[in-house]
Amino acid sequence: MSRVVKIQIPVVILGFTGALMATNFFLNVKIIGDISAQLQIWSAIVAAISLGLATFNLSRQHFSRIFKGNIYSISLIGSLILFPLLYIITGSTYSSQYSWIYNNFVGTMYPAMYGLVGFAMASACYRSFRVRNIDSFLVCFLAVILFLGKVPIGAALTPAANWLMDVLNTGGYRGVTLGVGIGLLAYCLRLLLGIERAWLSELKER
Amino acid sequence: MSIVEKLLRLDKRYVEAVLIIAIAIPFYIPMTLPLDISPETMEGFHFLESLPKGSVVQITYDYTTGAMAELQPSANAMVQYSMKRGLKLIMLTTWDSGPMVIEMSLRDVNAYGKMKYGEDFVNLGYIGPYGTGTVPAFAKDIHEMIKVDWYGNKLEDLPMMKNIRTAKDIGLIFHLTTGGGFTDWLYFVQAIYGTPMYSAAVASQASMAMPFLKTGQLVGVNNGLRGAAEFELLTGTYGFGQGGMISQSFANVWLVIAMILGNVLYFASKSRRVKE
Repeated sequence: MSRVVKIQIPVVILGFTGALMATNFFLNVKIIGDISAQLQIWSAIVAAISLGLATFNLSRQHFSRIFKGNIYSISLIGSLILFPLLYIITGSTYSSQYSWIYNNFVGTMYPAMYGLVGFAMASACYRSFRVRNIDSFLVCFLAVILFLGKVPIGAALTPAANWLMDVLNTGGYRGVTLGVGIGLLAYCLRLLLGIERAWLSELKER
Repeated sequence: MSIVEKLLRLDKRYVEAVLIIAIAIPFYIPMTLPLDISPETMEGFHFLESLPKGSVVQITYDYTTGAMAELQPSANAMVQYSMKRGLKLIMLTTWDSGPMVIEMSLRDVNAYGKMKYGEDFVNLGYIGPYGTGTVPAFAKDIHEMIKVDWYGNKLEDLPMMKNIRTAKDIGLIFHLTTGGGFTDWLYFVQAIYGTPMYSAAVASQASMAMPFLKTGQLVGVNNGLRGAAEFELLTGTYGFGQGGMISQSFANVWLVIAMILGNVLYFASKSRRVKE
């Protein structure tokens, strides 16, 4: 494929749409607003299509795994078939059968998975959180303040816990947010101006 | 092997078993603990109280069942409070498993029995994935972006939706999140259309929301389960939040005891080895 098709046309499309969206953000021009609204709807549709594509790719991968003897992939393929099948049979994603399977399988597996983190944490508190140096002392000390200060039983420590969250944590997060924002701005400018080309397929193939 | 060594090598399942007991006690022995209201929840509640009757509140369920323990109490309290105040509700999600969470929430508070669908509340379901053009497109023109609600009814046929065309027609976005989707609503809706936004985030993500409360971009923050419990107290509703907070209190106390006990045994064992 020629360089024009593989590099120049995608860069021009990206630059044009990016500039259009940026203009729409700063200026209130009806025609630009209408075009950008349409483009946003397109992007939602493209994202939905990409989900379908990803599902197809995932199924292909796991089908080949099943043939290689990996029985655990059956659960994924089974769910991928079961839910659309239920939709086809019942005609909705809020039917009692669909809801029953979701609530009793997916609905309980997610909380169980997250709940296990609590047990890992309890085990870590007893066996791993050792005060070996000043750094580990700080971690344990702050953990105690937050563990107790954020629940009613440790109300006396709540002001200290709030101070940690409001001052240290918020300050740190602001720094990260600003850093990411500036970095993102620079990256977007590089994309719009065609300087950043790592996303182009031809360059990836090299 | 000394008793200290034995305790240090204690099977982790004993530690975990005590955690289960600590969490379960409040379910079987009813009790209450005093709960101070955090400023971030109080600010949000004051804003809610200032909303006139008939205002439109959009509840965005951007989470899966994994975060239900922390977020569902906030969501249910918000729906119940809206019923009490006569606020109109739009429910939606940008998470693919969100529609089921919405259904659970609606059933928990018996919304279908207490409110009239299409007039008091509307369930738009999954509007598309966050992190794409979905949220900006929705905010710009709801009817252009979504033609039917989650049950297949045409949006034009729902009386409540006739006057709700853009994000400007929404009085408050109550956003429940485990992280994903938060910045979409904040950057592309609150920042552009000025729609007030209230965040209810899991405790690990509440730190992400807190800076925006101080800048005035958020009107309130419910910080995890504690925030939900406070919200229930303020709104005069009762759900899992307050009960769950007592369980969490006991669990956290056990975590602190386990940490202290582990360290005491570690130092006892160390000093014993030095002596030997």
